[in-house]
Amino acid sequence: MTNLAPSQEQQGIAAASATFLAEQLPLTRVRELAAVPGGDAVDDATWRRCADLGWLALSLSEDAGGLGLGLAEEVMLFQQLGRRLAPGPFRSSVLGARVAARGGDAALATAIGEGRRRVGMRLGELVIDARPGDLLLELDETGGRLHDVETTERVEGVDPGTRFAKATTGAPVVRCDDVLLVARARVLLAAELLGITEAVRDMSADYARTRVQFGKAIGAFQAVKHRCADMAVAAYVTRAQLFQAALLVEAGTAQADFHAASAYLLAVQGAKRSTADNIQNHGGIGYTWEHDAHLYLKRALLLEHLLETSRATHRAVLAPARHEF
Amino acid sequence: MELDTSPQLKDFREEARTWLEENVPDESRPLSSGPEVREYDAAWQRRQYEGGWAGIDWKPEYGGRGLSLIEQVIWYEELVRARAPGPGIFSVAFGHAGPTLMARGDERQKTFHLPKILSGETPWCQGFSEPGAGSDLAGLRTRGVVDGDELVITGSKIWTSYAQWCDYGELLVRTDPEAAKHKGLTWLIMDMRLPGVDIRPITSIDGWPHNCEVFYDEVRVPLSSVVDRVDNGWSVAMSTLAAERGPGFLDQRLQLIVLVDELVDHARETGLIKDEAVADRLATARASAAALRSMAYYQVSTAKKGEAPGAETTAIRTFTVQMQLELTRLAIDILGARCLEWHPWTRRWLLDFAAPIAGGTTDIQKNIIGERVLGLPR
Repeated sequence: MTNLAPSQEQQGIAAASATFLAEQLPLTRVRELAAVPGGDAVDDATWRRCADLGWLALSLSEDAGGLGLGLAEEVMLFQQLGRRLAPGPFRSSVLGARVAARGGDAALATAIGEGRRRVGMRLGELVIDARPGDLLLELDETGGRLHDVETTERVEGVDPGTRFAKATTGAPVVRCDDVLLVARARVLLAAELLGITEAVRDMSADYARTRVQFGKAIGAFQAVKHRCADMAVAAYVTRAQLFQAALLVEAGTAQADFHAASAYLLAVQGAKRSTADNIQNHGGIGYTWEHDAHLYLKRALLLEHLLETSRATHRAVLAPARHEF
Repeated sequence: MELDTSPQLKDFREEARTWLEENVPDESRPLSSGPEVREYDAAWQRRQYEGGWAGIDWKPEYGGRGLSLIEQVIWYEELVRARAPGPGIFSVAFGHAGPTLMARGDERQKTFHLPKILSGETPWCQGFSEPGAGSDLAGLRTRGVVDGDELVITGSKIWTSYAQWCDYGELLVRTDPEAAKHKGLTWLIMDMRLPGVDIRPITSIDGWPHNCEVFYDEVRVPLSSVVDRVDNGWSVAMSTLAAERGPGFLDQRLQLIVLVDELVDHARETGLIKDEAVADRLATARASAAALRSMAYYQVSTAKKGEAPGAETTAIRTFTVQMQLELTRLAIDILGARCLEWHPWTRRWLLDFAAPIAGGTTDIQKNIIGERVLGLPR
């Protein structure tokens, strides 16, 4: 039977990335970066350090300068990126490196993996985290394409950790036909969303243990306790389905698309509700700009809309004639 | 995390699949309230036993196959895939009584009862809840008085499922009324045919007698029926409930996958799937059904050897119940006015009102998660 428990090595990836993010990219730093007019989501020095840790090349093959690991390892990393609301084009760069490698441009894949080229992402009429000279990832059911970004014009966006713009791009630099690329993207997004659900679960539980009203910690009240429990349930469900999907997508099985879309759907629903309930659990302070609760709400909103409409996910979930055992 | 590639497990699955293709009964379970219910469930259980498919992960000395939990999970999946009947009135024997006896029973109790459970000879029921002790189980008052080498039982139990068909019951009684609430309880094997046991079926919301109220009037049982020790019943009951949290009832959870597929088929045939609201709900149901399997794998993969499932696995039941209620209500909405004609899905919808109540309400389950997983105050 499929083993869904992360190995020691996989847990090590999570622990090391959590430590690095806590030290180098805490939310206070994300807020500082967001306050710089016209500034990048993340500075070049930090981006290169993340690349040096191998974060952008975990699943690239060794001849493309990668570590030769798989989607399960990327999931461990992206869960932490989500949990810490890491700014910067991680998901699009990881997917972009894959497009370059599989599209036959190993040198470009290496450049992305080493953090020398960043890859932003198309989001409807807009692009996110793309600057002139960066690459832009376009993703659809057939695969992915990378374009050179020529010009950008900043648009104010709702998530402070993400830069939005209108952009002009050149012809595709490289393309790769891979029907499972969207499934791979769904898995990475689901991992980030799981990280968010876990973060607000812990944030709510911490607050509910210490905030006193009517002479007791508010976590003793069932209304609050049950909202926290719902977050724990959402995290458990999402984690199990996400790990399952990561393995099936990596192996390219016939059910990969279905399981990835299922993981993404559950991750979206869990994070959507948990980030909203987290604000309610905190009362007035949860509604302020100063408190971090809104940052999780907004990142979850981005991840819910990033890929395509929810209808495409539903189609993928309903596509198989029946559940295959 | 690792995908399974073991040829042995693949062979095991193939073997199970082949056997089920040839052996799943064609006729469905009778809806009567007579003895044919027990006959049907017992015959199916016996057939599995004779084929070598009962108690996959139970020890061979007790009639099991001696394989691991992994093979047991595969067997459950194949049962569901083959649309085989569920355990019916044997569910307590398999999901509760068997695992509890294995964990806490003495050798004599194990060798006597476990093979009879596997072979479909003796269905069991569960006598925990009382009219005055529902969610607050430890407040139960049915008395057990030690008299020589016997225990004398007096009191009443309620929501005892299938008692009218069962030979044995797992009974939780108060043997020391002076002790603190959770102490002074005893877990015993009750022979449901003893004099002084009065079983009265209760008709449920769907018109079928799922549960009973059972009265015990000075019923004398030998002390050898006590599992573990007199006055140590709460800890035995907790192993019973831990078994309930474990993969023991997985086949019943996985049945939901079949219902989802039926709904998807129906929505495709009728064109209802083009209705976005219906498609959204179906997609959620199907993704949730996939997660039921993944959670079982995750639970088995992360289980610590020899330890009861942790409180975090309560999430599985909480999620299943929630999904089940959404799913059966979706079935009703898909049927429209046809649901008024006692469609099987109507029956299912009504039956599922028990899901967030039986075996611990959803409210209490969420308290457990809040307190034991997240460390919130009581």
